[in-house]
Order: sequence, then structure tokens, then C-alpha cells
Amino acid sequence: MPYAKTSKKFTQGEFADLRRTVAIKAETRRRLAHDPLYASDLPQEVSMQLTYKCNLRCLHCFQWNEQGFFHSYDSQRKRAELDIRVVHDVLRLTAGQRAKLFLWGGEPLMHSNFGEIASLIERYPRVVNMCTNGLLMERNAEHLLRIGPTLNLLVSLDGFEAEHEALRGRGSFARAMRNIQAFLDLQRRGEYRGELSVACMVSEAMVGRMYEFTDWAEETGFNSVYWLLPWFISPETAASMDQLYEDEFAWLNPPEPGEKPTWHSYTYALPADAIGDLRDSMSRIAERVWKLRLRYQPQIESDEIDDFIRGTSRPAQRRHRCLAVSNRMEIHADGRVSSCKFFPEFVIGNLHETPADELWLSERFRRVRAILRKNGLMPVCSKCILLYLSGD
Amino acid sequence: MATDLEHMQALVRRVMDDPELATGITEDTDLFDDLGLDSLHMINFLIGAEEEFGVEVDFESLREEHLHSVRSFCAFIHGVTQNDRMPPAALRLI
Repeated sequence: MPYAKTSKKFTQGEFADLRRTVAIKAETRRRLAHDPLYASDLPQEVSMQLTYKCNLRCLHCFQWNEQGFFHSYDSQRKRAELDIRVVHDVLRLTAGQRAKLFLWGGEPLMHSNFGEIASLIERYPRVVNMCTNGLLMERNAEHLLRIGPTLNLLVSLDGFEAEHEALRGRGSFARAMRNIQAFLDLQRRGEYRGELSVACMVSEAMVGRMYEFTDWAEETGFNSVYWLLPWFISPETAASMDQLYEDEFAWLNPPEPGEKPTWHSYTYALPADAIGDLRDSMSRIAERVWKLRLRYQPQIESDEIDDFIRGTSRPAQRRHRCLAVSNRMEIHADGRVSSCKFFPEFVIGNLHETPADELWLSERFRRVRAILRKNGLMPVCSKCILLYLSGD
Repeated sequence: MATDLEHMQALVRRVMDDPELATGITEDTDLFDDLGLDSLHMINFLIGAEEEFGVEVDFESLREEHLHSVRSFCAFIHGVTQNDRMPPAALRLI
């Protein structure tokens, strides 16, 4: 697909982040060429799911919509928050290389002790990317400002008011916008020195309004717009993943009898008859030079669109290998660590029982890496953001 | 043996999928302003440079000025920064 152009220059911070990303990726590739089971000594990126709790029930959410797998958790786990001691241990352990930090949830600002987490990040500084629905940003402004200029906030707005609220509930757009405006004001006054970007899922209602929304986002003052294509996994792809898991990973963390694996929860799809509109919108967007950055997740090629939208196992961006399993640690809200961001079936262990460095280089993790390197990408990898952010 | 400029053209052709853009590259081309590489392209471009030039690059020492011309980028790739003031003739650019 033609790519979207921007007149926006890299800031010093953006450039430093890009350089670090490239250095990590290059090192991982070089080391994998000699040792297929390579993992960095310590994780070079860390993802923390601060809590499973969320203050919204969005129709497209694989966690909390009607088919969402969080409903199968018992009431205690549903309320789980990442233990401050775990946050502290991991930040201290990875402070030397300033491992980049990704915060998500549920809604990460629902963590009841976010202030202490922000203080720990201030103590062990690094680049922090946080995905949020935006509703609690203003209430947590003091804590968020403490993180400093390396904080990148990515707020979910799934369209203009009507489209957003059709997915996220009545009143949610105005509430999110109040918080966004508050942070844009803080940014103008130089008090918030991080970035503020917007993520919008390409829904059926928005696919024909992508240009219009991008124009509005530019006018509003966002740093970037991320257009997220729905992470739909078709029943056929999910079934082939069931088989692969049974064949290769049954020793790891299989679902309880009667429970469906979580990849069956990725049910929200863009109708196939909207693919033409998607192509048209992407082409129109590509005709203009924007003042903001514009990214597609994934940055899909023209011949990949059909497969991606229909939920097949074919990856986009010509990707063929996951590097995250060698350099990035995924920590769930209950302290479990998994090799794959979205799928708890790939839980390796728990930080309440095993120190992070030991778990990272454990035999179980090594065995998962060995299977992934032997088999290549799994059917569900095509719907994992990590493949696109840092894969090969 | 390909010149540095030919390597750069091949690299841009691969990353940007734009033969016209690649053909127009000179040693003065600015990788930011003239090629308009966004962050994803830039990552793919830099990673691809290792393969294209057949070298290992210390990306931690990359600075923005290395990307303001093909000449400085090639010097960086070969471990020679502009501060080292190597004459352009040493760089196999054309």
C-alpha cells in the first residue's frame, strides 16, 4: 500500500528511542544467526499488564466483551493488580539497560497504586509507552507528569463520538476528550513533555471516515494516529492453533477442561465487504503530507489485506519470525510471565515464585523458544502486535 | 562490486518499494527530508543496511546527522564519521 507521509521531524527523544529499537533488533538478529535459542541476558523490553480491571466494556475487546476470556477468571483474579514488589524488582533488574516499558491492562490507570508505580519509574527511568482509554488521565496527572518526557500516552478513541460510543458506551467520548484536552493543555504549558497519540480501530463505521478522523486528530494536536486493524482470528485459524498447541505445547499451560483457549476470543472483525473501502481510505490518506505521524498496525501490504481482515494465519508486513520471545518479557497482572503477550496459554511461570532473571532464562522458556524456532510462526502470530513492532 | 551508492539504491528500493525514489538518490540525498522515511521505514532501512553492506553496525552510536546525507550515512556504516574528516574520495560513493 502507498504509505502515509509526514512533515513531522523526529524529536531528540523519538530518535533516541528509534536508535535503541534498532540496536536491540539488530543484536537479536545477529545472535539468533549463531544460536537459534538465543535470549538476551536480561529482557531488553518489559511489558506490564498492570491490572485486568477495566472501567469500560467495549464491544470489540477480546478481554471483556461477551466472549472475552477475562469472564472465565474467578472473581479474585478479575480484580488482580500487578504487585508493587514485582514492579519494583523488574524495574530494578532492568535499570542498567533502561529496558523500555510498556504498560497496559485492562485499563492500566485502574491500578489502585499507580502513583507508586510512577514513582518507581521515576527512580528507574526509561521510555514508557502506555495504552489507556484516557478516562483517568486527569485524575492521575500528578503521577503521569512524574514519569517525565519519556512517557508516550496512547489513548483509544474509536472514531468520532457516535462511532466511539457505539463500541465503548454512552458518555465515554466526552469523558475521554476532557482528559485529552487537559493533557494537551499541560503539553502546551510545557508541564507534560511526553507525547500524546491516539489509537483508533478500523471498524465498519469508521472505515470510510479514516481520512476525516486523521484530519481531526491533526487539528486536535495529537502527535500520531495509530490505525488499528481488528485482530480477528477466524474459527479455522483458531482451530489450527488448537491443534498446534495440543501437539507442541500441551506440557505448558493448557486451558482447564471445558475452557476454550483465549485465541477463540478474537471475534471482532471488519466485514469482508469493507475491504474496498479500507483500500480507498488508505490510498486517500497517502495522497497528503500530514503534520502528525500516521501508522497502521500492522503496516499492511496491498496483497496482505484480504488475509488479514479474514483472520487467516498469514502474517502481514512480510513477517516470518518473532524476535520478542528473545528480548521482551510479558508480565501479566497476576505476576505470571508468558512468552506471548496476549495468550495466557503460554505462561512460563510466576514472578511471585521465581525471580525475573531466572524465569527469563529458565528451561521452560528455553523449550518454548526452541519449538518456536523449529516451527516458525504459529497461526495466531499473525494477530500479535509484537510481530509487527519488533519481528523480522 | 557494487558501490556504496548502488547499495543505498538497492536498500531504498527494498524498504520503500519505490524504484523511482531509489534511482534518484545521490550522495547528497537527505534520508529524512528527501526520502521521507517514517519510523517503521527507518527501522527497516537501518536493519537492512547491515545486510546490504555486509557489516555489523553499532547503532547505539548513530546520530541524526549521519542520516542527513547518503555520504554521511555510508561513512557511518564504514565506521567513519564526519568528525573524522575523511575525504569523500575514500568512500567509494560513485
